[in-house]
Amino acid sequence: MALRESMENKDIALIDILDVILDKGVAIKADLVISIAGIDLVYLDLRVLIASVESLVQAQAGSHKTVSSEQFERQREALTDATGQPSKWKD
Amino acid sequence: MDSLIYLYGLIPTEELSKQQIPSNKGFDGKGHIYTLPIGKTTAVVCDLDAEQYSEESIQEQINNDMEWLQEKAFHHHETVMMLSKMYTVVPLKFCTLFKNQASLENAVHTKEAHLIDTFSSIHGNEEWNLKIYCDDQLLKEQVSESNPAIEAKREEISQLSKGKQFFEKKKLDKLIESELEEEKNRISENIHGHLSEIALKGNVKKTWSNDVTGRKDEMTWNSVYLIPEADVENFLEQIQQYEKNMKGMGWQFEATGPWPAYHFSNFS
Repeated sequence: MALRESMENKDIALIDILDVILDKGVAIKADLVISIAGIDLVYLDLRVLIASVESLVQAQAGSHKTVSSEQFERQREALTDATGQPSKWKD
Repeated sequence: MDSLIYLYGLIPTEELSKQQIPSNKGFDGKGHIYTLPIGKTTAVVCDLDAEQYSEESIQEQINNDMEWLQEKAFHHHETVMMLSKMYTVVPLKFCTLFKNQASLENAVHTKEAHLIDTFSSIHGNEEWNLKIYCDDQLLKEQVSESNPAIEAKREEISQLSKGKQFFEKKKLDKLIESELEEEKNRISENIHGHLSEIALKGNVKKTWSNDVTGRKDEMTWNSVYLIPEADVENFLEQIQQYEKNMKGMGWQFEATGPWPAYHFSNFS
């Protein structure tokens, strides 16, 4: 397993790690540009936070109430009625 | 003090009876990592202060504190890596936080069947990443010399008047560009197809621009594979062989791994 071992012990760049552990990977369309050690340019998508925000929303939903698609649908209809605009959604 | 639960990864509970997780510092550098058995699945977690690690403050840190992000990203990575060396792990994305234990338990219960399937599909297998780079300039020369369509066009242009030649040459450059892209894709896809035969699964990822890589050559391919442990050496040898054969033509291959199976498990 010589090849595998030498690969395994290679240093991994932060950007490789970010590309894997961030929800959407390293974004090409940068919302934010970050410089590490003055050399590497890392483009970080702000959607990194979606993972945590989603979990929190789920967590809240889990502990209080669940948001069902029926509920969502009712709210959408109410909003459509309130604005008096024709719905863009097909029922 | 309210506390949130930071989830690193999920492990089959039965694997924990064979060996306990080593003592390790938590995400805030103060608390410790611990396990939370939830039926057949065990969550590896740590507690975080709810105020200090609210969405807003995490966002603030990520936006403004590169050192913080670097330290925490490494911490997350190292912790999950350590777990994946010992157990079958469904790794979680960076900063996956739950409001409390009950909400985490609820999430795991809901996904139990899916988790058990995932454990069995990743057990004994490794995730590897391959990035292929190409020196466009070198390859462009080859494409422009060996492509019959370009050859014919060039012949046609040489018969034209000087003024017409100028515009036709511009068009020819465009043709070479598009032939180059096609050639790069065709070659990369072939390689991907071959490597996917050794692997159980292969996924294509987005390539990065030069701003991100900081390199002069272009990233033409970025992909991940799930490979049985016993086949990893063969997989890497194939890549080495490609590198050997194609280096002279401006191609470079970079494999990294083994990674926790981020791309072949999902819990979200």
